[in-house]
Amino acid sequence: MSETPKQRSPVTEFHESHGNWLRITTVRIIVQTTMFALFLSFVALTTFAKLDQYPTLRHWVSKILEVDPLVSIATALTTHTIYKGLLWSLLILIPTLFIGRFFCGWICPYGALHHFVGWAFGGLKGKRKADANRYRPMFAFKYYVLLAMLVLAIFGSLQIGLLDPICLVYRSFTGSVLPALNMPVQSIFGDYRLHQGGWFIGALLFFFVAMNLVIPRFFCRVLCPLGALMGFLSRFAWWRIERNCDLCDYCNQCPTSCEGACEPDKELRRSECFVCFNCIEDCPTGALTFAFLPPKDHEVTSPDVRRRSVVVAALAGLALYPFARSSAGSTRNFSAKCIRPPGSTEELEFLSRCIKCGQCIRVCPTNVLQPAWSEAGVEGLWTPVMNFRIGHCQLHCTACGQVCPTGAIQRISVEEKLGLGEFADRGPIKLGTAHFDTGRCLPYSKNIPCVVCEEVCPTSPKAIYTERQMRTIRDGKKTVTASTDSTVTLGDPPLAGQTLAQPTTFPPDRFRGDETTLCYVLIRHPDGMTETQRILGNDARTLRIEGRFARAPETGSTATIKLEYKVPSVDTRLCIGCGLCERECPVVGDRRAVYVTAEGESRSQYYGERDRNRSLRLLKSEG
Amino acid sequence: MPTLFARRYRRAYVGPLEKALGVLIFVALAALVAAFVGQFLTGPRPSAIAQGSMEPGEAAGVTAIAGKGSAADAETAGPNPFPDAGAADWKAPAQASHYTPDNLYMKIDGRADLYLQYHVVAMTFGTYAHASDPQRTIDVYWYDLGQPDNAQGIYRTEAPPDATAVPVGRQGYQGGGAVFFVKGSHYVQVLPTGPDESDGAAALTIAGKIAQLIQDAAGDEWAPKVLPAKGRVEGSIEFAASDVFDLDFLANVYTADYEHEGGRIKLFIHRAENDAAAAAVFEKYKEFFGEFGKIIWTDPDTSRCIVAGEASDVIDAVFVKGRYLGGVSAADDLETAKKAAREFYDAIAP
Amino acid sequence: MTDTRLTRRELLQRGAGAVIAAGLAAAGGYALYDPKGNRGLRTANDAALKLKNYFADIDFPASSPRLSIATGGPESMEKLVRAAIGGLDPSQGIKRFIAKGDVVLIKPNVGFDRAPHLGATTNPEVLRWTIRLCNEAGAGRVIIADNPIESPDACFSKSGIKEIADAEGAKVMLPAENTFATLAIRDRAPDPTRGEALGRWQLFHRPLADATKVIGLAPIKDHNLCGASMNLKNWYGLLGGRRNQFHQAIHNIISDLGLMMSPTLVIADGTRVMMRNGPTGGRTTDVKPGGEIGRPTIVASVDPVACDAWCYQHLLGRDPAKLAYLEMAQRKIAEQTATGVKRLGERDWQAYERAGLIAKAVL
Repeated sequence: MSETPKQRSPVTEFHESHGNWLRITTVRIIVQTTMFALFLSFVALTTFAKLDQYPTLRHWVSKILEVDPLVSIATALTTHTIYKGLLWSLLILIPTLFIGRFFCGWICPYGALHHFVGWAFGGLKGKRKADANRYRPMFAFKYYVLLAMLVLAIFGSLQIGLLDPICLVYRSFTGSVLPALNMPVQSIFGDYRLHQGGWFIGALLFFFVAMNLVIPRFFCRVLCPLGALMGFLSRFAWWRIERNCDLCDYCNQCPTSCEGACEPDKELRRSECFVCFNCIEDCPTGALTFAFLPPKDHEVTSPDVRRRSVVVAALAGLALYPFARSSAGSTRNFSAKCIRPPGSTEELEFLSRCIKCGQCIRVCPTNVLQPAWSEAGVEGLWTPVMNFRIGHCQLHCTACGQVCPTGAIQRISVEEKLGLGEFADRGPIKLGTAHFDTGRCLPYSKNIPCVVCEEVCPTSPKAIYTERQMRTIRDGKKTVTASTDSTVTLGDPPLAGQTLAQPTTFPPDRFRGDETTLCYVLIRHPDGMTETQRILGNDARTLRIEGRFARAPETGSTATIKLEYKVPSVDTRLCIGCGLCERECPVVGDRRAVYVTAEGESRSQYYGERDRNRSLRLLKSEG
Repeated sequence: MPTLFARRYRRAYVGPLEKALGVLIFVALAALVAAFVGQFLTGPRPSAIAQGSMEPGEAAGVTAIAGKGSAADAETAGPNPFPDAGAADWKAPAQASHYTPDNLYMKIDGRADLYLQYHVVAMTFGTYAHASDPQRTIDVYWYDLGQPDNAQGIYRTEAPPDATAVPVGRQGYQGGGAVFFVKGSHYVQVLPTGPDESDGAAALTIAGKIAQLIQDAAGDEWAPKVLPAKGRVEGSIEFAASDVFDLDFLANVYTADYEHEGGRIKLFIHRAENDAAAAAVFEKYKEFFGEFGKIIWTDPDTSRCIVAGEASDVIDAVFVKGRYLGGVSAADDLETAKKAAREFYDAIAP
Repeated sequence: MTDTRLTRRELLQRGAGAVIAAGLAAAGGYALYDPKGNRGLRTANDAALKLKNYFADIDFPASSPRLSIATGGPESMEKLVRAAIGGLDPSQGIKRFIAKGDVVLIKPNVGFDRAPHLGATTNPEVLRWTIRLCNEAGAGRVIIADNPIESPDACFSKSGIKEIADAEGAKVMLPAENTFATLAIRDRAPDPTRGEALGRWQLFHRPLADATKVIGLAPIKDHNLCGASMNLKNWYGLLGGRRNQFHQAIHNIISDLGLMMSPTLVIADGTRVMMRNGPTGGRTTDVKPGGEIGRPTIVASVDPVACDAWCYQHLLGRDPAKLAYLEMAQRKIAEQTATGVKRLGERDWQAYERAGLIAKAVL
């Protein structure tokens, strides 16, 4: 390198390159845009109707998640397997080893979003723009995040979904952006859907995207664990941006549009370079090239991390695991509201696979799947749980498992779900069991006939069955004042100390009854003998019964008027926990009269030591 | 070509290698996009929606998500009996789904119980699709009840009293655009999902065409001829296939209401295979009286075989004549029962 | 500028990293590749562990007594234990059952946090001499294990079992999460209409896996739910999981326990029989040495069902024909022996008596 600084050439020379539009940066922009458009299509098309109409679509919609190397590496650490389509991540991983962090600059849809927002709303120019792209020590933070998460993964807790960019962008779009767009535009994307807590997920997305105005590609540089992984793997790459010091005249134009803040004007930081080629476009002298195995003394090969911080990050990962697990939120102290989709693996297995991408939540046709907040413990944040106030689990639907990229929800057939055909021995998959809250149930506690739950129960034979029960109506105790063969005249019981019955008035034919409710009168004779007869009709004071009294009611006997109607019960041997009863129960509010809990879930049956199932009776069908 | 995104480049020279690489990347990208878009070019899979759809309005097409070897696949094997729609805009079902009594519930859930009570033999399901609007379909549920009695019985059970009759099959009505008819041993429901005015007419046409394919069994309505016409309440004939009056030995019984001396009575009639079978049911009825109540009267006129019994505070009069078993059900008092039973007995041709 | 042209050696050196890493990634990916998606997940079809038959290897002649009853005074527990076990094989005694180097699991009843004199748990003195005998026969290790409902530490110490075990050099194994495993007692789901309770269940497996011989050492107690808690009921302490729900069909579970466990031998401790208010008891007036016999009695047997029947009749003074789980256990064991499994399960102890296969010793 020569010692004398060169004379600075005028830098402001621009070229209108009409014939040379086919440059690598143009290609990159088109690729980024296309990737984002594909991502948007994938997410928009992840609906039950579309997946049914186009059966091959299920292989596409979660594809970006499947090619994400962090997802496959982290799930390999937690489950010691590479699940099905995750093998595709080699398609990204192997080129990264040779080219560097091209994924961040070319393919990542979240990166494209940041890039676009930064470019459209950035507003900085010239030197200030270049300064914004300087490397800062805080960019090392993403490596600590990656390390902590990988250490957690080694112990079996998968938390990369929180900050992995693909999981995050999928979750944000499925959980808040598309639902928000849905609302006015129902006919394009589908029905108005609800996502509990979606506001926070959307706000988080907004925050990260808005931060691009402060530091361009803030998320990518500071937080992204996938970027950190790629950055670490860049150390082996055969090609990188190389600055020819002889040609360079130190004009500092190259960082102006640098995406990765990798300092091409100094020693290139391999681990930060997004291979975006913007620096090459900005260099007036052509000093920058994408060189093959350039000298190692012009680069910073490894990420710039402090050893002490690395240790802290590893320890954090180490400690968070027992902190989370000893809260027992997933084992003995499990929440009965944590009801998982059909085909889910057992809970701890689930937590070691679920990347919180939200695909299952989006594809669910009834909108019953929701991102969990407290239902699944701290490890289960944003994992799918069922909320039967919003929807129910459709009987013949197994869509959620079809789109799950990691196998947290297995790909099952409808036959396996319902226990038909070759699965008849095992019986159906039970999500949980329905229970009645008889203090709220209308027939049980309010003398109002209602068996909506029995009507809608979809199993065959129905798991909810009814029995007829008799209940005394309010003010139903009367006294007999007169009677004939088939009628009895009543009055209110006498006041204290008196013998004469009080007058009473019934609305005409109030006790005629109908298809659902029958009315009965129970006569209790003074000697204790009782007789019950069905009431066919009445006028103001007299009841007309069906048939004849076996023994004529004497004046002074008590007559109690009762209603008989159906009250429902659950046959736990048949209930599969689909939640249609809870969904349709007319007693709305925080607690419905019939509600489903996670007890008896069949996915836990081979994991007895996890203590999530208390009773065999809830779990297995007898005989 | 103007610079993309109004960005001006400082680098003037773009080498051939870079251009070649660019072309290569474009080709790969185009291939990717083409592969993705290509799967939409063949159009949506209509048969999946047709087979899997449940109630109109529910999420359609479960079979695709169900994957291979799903229940619906098992049902598709079989001939497609559905005729052409007879209307330009409607396409006949490409495939028909066949259901047996064992798996009928998979299609119609709890309603299967009712059909099983009426001894359903098979059900065939298909969907007529509208040529241009995929939201409009006409579902056809074609039940084979095995016996004309059963088909009549279930038709009557489902028909509302004030239905608008239509001239399809032996009897039919249309409500809300949907057409229901019975012919021979078959009961067919034609259910459009679109607007009533236009699709109701199409449903009627389709129903007519299906009815043409069904044989009307000769003389399949014996009951209205045997039950006395005098005093019969209009539209009160009903058929119950099993557990009639909650008696497990009584099946395939027609009942009708009659005005009788100021009140109403219910007559019933059952036609057995032969005289012996009818006599056997009669014996069972007498046993039932003996066990749960008592026989309170036997017709002294031995040419008639009538008894009246009382059980659970209810008086029935029952007779057997040839292969017919009939009588009065749940009469108010013995005299009415006796008189009505005698009249009924006499009215039946030997 | 230095010459940046690379030598072939440099090329190889610097280029190798990426190639090796790529190769490792691809190899790792394919090695872990799980196309079906359910590797490592437990299913109904998993092969489950099965319990050993601890009687199968015993060379027990047809002429040897099946039951050996020893009745004596309280002065010498040693003599009582020796007489009882010796009665099964006068020439070899315990050596017929325990060989040199055997790992012996003695399963006493340590189910309750009660002092020994209340008869709710196994008499520690009986345990002491049983351990001593096993050690004399050359046992490599003696394990004492039980899974009580209440705190294991409290139960083992209050009942005096821990103290005796430590004194005799036996190892007490307490239940812990990693000592349990799922075992298949039946290959299919149990059918309650046929009196079955167990299919696969969590068992306190570690002591059973380690042991080569198992001796059950149960006190004889009245039981308010099932009639009596004796040798068959003693195996309840090996169950893990939510086992309390089996009480809803108690005879099903006890007979299944009889099916599940084929021990080397059982010793019924009738030194302090709880005559009423069992199984927890709590008053000394409920306890009677030797029960109806009146003097401390110990019964050693190779047939747990016969032993239970005999003890029910002679120690508790009740009719074993009325004890449902005995008949059910006999039926289930008969089904098993019909397939060639070597074990005994005959509740008709009179048949043994008629055949002269009951040894009695009065001290």
